Amino acid sequence: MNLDVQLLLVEDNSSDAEMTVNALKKNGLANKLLHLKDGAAALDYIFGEGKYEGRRVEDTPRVILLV
Amino acid sequence: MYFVTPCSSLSFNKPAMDKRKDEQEPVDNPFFFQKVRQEIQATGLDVPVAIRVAKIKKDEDYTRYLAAIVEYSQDAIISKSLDGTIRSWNKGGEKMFGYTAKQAIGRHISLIAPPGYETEEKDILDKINRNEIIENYETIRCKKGGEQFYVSLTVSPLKDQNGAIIGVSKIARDITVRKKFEAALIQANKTLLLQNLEKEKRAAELTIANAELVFQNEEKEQRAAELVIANKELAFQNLEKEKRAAELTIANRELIFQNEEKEKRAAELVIANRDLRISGEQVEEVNRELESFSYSVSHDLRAPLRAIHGYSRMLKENHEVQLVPEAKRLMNTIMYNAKKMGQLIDDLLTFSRIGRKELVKGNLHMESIVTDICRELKDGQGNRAIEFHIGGLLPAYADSTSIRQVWLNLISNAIKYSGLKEKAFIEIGSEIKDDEIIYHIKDNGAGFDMRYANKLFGVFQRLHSDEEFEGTGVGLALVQRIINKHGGRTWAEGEVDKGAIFYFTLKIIPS
Repeated sequence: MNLDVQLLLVEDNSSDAEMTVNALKKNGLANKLLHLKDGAAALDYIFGEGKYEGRRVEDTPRVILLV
Repeated sequence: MYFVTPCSSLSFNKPAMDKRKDEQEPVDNPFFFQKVRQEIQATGLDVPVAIRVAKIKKDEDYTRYLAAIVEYSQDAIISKSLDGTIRSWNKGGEKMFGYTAKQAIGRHISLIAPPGYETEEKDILDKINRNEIIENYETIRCKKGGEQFYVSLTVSPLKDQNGAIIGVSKIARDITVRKKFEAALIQANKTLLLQNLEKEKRAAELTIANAELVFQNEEKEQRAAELVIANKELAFQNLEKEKRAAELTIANRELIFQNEEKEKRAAELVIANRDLRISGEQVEEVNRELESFSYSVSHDLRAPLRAIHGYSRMLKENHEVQLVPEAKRLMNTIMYNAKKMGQLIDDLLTFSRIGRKELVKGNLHMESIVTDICRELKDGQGNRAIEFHIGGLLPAYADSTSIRQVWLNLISNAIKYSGLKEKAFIEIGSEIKDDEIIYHIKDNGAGFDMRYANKLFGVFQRLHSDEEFEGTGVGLALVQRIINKHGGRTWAEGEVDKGAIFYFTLKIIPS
């Protein structure tokens, strides 16, 4: 994943996630958005562990949306 | 010794003369004269000479006799000249005053007058000069050493043969002892008088006490008579009671039997109660589960609802151009209903939350709570004509948050259901009845049919359609639940198109 993530969305309900992404896109805010299903995945991402091992942890998202 | 006639240069004053009269008696006795004659004849002298000789002899004897009486009298017998110079002073005088005759004779009589009594002797002499006699005159004199004592004075004039006063005779008697007795007697009399007064007082008290005792005795007699009657009555009652006791013995036997039965029953009840307690605990457990269930249901129901509403909106907004008007109307209906369901769930959540919430009671200023809510609600109604009449609301002791909710719901209803009227009149008031305050809110709105009054406070129960007036049917149910939790009651009166009155009660603030 080389995506330069600026906005991290953590939401287990896919409908809610889709509606959120839709609303963000409409307002031109969803270019660099990553959607994760739960808090554990979010922690792995932030600290470069598990699935995200080797990720540059210095690149932190600007905003994290936790619902 | 016989005295024929007194023959002295001195004649005696009257009392002395009286005494002489007694002694003269034998002179008038014929036997006495005969005896004298015989004595004279025995001398051999002729009778006239003999009589003269005897007379001189008798005069001398008589004078000596008198002098002896004077000299040895216990009383002080003093003679003095008219200027007060002491002329004679007997043994009694020496003993009484402490001056010997030698020391006293020639001195002025004021010798024996104590200080303050100096003029007394002069007064006495004046009286004597006026031919007055002083008898038993009590006064004070002093002894040689200055010691004063009481004396009784008898003072008489001494006259010569022609009756001219030539001196004064004074007899002084020491009456100190008598005076002491007198003083003691006076004191004793005083004490007796005092005692008499005390006794009279005591007697008066005793008289009163006696009267009281007489009265009490009468009372007691009356009481005794009453007691006699009461005793008779008691005796009769005792007989009755004995009869009754016999009956009771039988009844007791029956009761013992019944008690045993009841004990058996009680034992059964204890078991039943235990079961009930267990089921009571189970009911509480079920209730807790229900609360939690309704909360999670309400919460979980909201997620799909959000999706329905959200996707409908996305469809409507993202694909508006492809949708025909009818499709748009259908989309709107879906969105309206989803929103409505969201409202229902919100209300249900609130209702469920109230059930679990602990009441925090305090003193509430109802007037300001209601005034604030009315202002806020009126502001949200734009230009609608609404007139509030809030009449001196009584303060309450209740939970602030939930009571606000009650007023909000009731006032919102009043505004909502009077929405079709040209002008809404809403009157809010309160009154005390018995131990509770009754609050009411009256409107001039759509009212309701009294036949369905019992449905008003049920959850999701509505007497009007959504088309007429929007609503979820939870508002009044919530009002009732809150008021019931406070121990109050709710009810309503209404008439179709004439408006409605909603009432609720709260306990009077505890003092």
